Amino acid sequence: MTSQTPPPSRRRTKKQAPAQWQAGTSCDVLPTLVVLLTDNDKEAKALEEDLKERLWPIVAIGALQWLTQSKIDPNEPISSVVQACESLLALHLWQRLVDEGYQSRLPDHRHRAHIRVVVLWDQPSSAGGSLDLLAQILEVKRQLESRAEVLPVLIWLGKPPADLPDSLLGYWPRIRLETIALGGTQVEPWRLYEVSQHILVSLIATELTRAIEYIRQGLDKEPAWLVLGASALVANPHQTQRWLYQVMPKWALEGLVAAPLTDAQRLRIEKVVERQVDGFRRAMLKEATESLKEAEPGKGKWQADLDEEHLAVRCCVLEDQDMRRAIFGPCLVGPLASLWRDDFPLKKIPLLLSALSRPFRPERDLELLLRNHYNEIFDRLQFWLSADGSRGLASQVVEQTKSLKGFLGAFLDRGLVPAEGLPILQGQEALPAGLEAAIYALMTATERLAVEGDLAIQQDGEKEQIRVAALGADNKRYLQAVARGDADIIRGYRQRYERFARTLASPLGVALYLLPAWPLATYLLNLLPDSSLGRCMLVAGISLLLIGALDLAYWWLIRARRLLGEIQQRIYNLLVHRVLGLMALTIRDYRLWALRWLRDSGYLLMDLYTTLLEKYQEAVEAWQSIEVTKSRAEGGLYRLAAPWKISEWAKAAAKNVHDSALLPKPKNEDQDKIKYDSAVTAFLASEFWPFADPPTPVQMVWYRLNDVCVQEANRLIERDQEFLKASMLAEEVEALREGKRWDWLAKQAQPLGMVDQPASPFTIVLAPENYLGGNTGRNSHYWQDDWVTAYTRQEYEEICIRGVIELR
Amino acid sequence: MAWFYLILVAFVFYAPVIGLSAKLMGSGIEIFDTGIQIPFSESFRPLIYSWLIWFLLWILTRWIESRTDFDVLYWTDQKWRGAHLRKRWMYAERPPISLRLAEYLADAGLAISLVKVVGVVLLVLILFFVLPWLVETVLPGLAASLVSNLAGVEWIEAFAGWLVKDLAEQLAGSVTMGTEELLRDLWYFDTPTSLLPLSVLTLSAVRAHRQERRARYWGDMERKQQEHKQAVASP
Repeated sequence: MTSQTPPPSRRRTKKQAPAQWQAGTSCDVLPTLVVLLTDNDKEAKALEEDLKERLWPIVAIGALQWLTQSKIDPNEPISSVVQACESLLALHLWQRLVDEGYQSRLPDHRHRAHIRVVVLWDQPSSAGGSLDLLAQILEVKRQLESRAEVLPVLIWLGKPPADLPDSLLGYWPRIRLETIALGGTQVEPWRLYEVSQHILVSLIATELTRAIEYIRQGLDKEPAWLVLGASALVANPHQTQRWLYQVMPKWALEGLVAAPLTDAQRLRIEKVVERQVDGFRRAMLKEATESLKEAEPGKGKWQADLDEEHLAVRCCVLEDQDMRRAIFGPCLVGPLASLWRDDFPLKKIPLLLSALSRPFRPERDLELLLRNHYNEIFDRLQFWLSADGSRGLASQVVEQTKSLKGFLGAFLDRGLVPAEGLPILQGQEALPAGLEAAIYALMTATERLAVEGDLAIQQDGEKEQIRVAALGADNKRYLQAVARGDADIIRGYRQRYERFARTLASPLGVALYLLPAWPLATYLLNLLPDSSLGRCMLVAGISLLLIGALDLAYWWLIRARRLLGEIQQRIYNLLVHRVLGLMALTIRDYRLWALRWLRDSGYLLMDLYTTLLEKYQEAVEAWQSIEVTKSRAEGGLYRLAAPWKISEWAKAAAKNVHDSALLPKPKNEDQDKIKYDSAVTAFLASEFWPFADPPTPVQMVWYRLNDVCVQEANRLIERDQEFLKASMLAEEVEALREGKRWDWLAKQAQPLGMVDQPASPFTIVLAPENYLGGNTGRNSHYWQDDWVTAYTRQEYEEICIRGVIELR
Repeated sequence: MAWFYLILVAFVFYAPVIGLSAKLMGSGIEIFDTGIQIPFSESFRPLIYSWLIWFLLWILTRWIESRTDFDVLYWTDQKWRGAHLRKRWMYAERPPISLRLAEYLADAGLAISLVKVVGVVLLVLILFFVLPWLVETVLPGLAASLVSNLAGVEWIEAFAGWLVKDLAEQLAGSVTMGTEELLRDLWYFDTPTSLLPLSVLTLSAVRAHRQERRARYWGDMERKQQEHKQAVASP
């Protein structure tokens, strides 16, 4: 408050000689209430918004309050203003002002709080031509006199009253703006508001008040009005930052989402992913097969020969002899016998005949046997203890899924390739990497893994898919039903053989049937001419013997054996399909588990990709509109912009983001040794790979990424602050370059108002002192010697205020 | 048991060389004093003896079995467990050739025998009665009747002359000689005398065996049901 201009005193009588003007090095910001008394709502609104934009840090603290006509109680106008002033006297506001350096100290008993009330008067209809409202607002000063010093300022738009009424004398500075400028030129009404905006900015954030007071001190008479004109070069750093934040994703995300995979790349990804997924299936099948072999003696051990390439079982052998005999009968014949190496050699024909003729009665406890066997296999597949202590196929599926994760993660970032490396990614041209590649690899893997056909059986060169057992919630009951059904089928097969074998005569039976044929055959042969009875007897006997033997051999050794072999084969197929169906079920369950993980991961990455793509497209659209933005003049306001610098910053910041240490990396034992393609993909990997449960929300990931983008952008902006300053940006505009801006500012700041006897014309330039040096500053030939400069807190603006004083 | 008795009787009576049938052969039956005997007529006696013996044995055994509820084959199977006479002999249907060969041979023997018997009898009748009657009585009578009734018709007279002269000469000459030759061939076609009786006996036994098998099967079924009922009744 030390440098704050003391309030003008109308009671001052002694004329003081003004000292030489010296621009200050600082100025206090007074909490200010702007009272807008106007019917032009549109301009009032625009003025409010523009002012808030230009004075954003002060507005953010709360040092600028706004009171429009609609918010003033017409019956109690004073109370409305007092209420608004009260908020400006809040201690926390003053504490913030001191903390932020806008005030040098807190008010105390020697230095009361000072607040400013700026009334912008544009002939409001509510006043009805009366100036009572202005007088009443002055009453606020009296009411708050005991607590604080209220400094009323008046900005009068339009033609003023002929004689300055007493009610306005309490306001100082009394600023007048008219549509007819000094010299008689006409300006549009909206210019009055624009100039008001520059004046308000200057009143609040610069030394304008002190400069005006200095000029006033040099006057012989009391001033009636200050007739002012103002212009400004405004570089909007907030808008520049906002734009930078908006467009940064364009470059930061370009590599992630804007490089679609080519067909050739997709094809290559498909090939390697399919190979990997096939490996996954193969390992699962192998593990499941191993579990079948692990049975204890007497528990129905199965030996399976795998065709790993075609994901098929070539043959499957039940090792348990007792169970085999119980199911298939005492002897195995046909192809099944060679499978088990259990065929009866032909030289043991009597044994074979005995086995074939032995009553083939279905076991009564076959159902129980099968049920126990199925339960045993199911339990073994589900719960058998592996070396690492996990059960069933869990360890294998975990290992395979881990391997699949490592493999698929390598598409997101090569840093995620496991330490042992992936042979599939070596020795060939590098596969594409990135978010899209990872998603495509995941989707391909999902698609491939979703294909049914976990297990097939290959018999006689033909591949037959195994139908998965339809186990439901009640496994035991299902297996019981299945065992009952299979036992019935097996019994049916065995009865079929029994029915056949029952009709076969034994050698004794055949001999009995053939005995009466012997004399008959002898007598019939004896019909032949020249045949002796004895010879006929011999021939008939041998013939009948041969016929009987051949007939017996054909029916027993060929027909019966073939039927038994066929039936045993069917029983074998039934059993094998049932056992392999249980195995396929287990493999499918684990495959679906892995598939769920893949699907979840894929959808999550797709969700992330969609979000990032949206952000990228928004940034592209924003950049398309920002790119064409140019510095432009609107009346006395030159808005400066440099989109090329924004793109330069955005590109550099995006590059920094991809190398940024701010983004977290996946936690890994060899964290320091791993070299990631990009910090962004490493960050995505840390959030999504391997996938947490529940996963991090995609929006949160985006916010974190965006935070780092903003931080990197801010770091660049801090380094290149100069490019946010008006003086630097003005050099990019032809019309303002090399000091021409002073000329433009002076021309645009023509005082708005007709004055009969103007006094003390003045020009005040409110620009940062460090940009006033050099050939483009005070040394420019556009700079006038009589111009004075004053301190401003608006580092990104240069304001020129010209005025004349109308004396009373 | 029909089959068992068939084997027994067949070997006792008709076994070549040693069979009793040769001793039982009687004299043959001459056909209308032509000096020619009916073929196989000498084996009627062994046929009747053997068939009666077989039949009586079978009927008697079946009667005793039915009276005493004793099943010989069941008893045999119980006694010699490896024999499986019921399963592997009585109820067996395969091998079909071996199982029905005796029947086929009996059919063939009977057919051959009947051809010879019927052929010889027919040829004797034709040669000794039909042909002379035609030549001596029928044809002249027919010619005389035609001429008397249709006198003056030229072609009738020619036809009557052909009947009396040419046709009668043909029948008395070449036809008679051909028939004689055929009869001689058939008569001298050597057939064992036991063929016909053995065939008849075998075919009879086949039918009896089938009937007996059916009866034994139902008997077995009833016995099984009885056993099952008893097993259910006394757990």
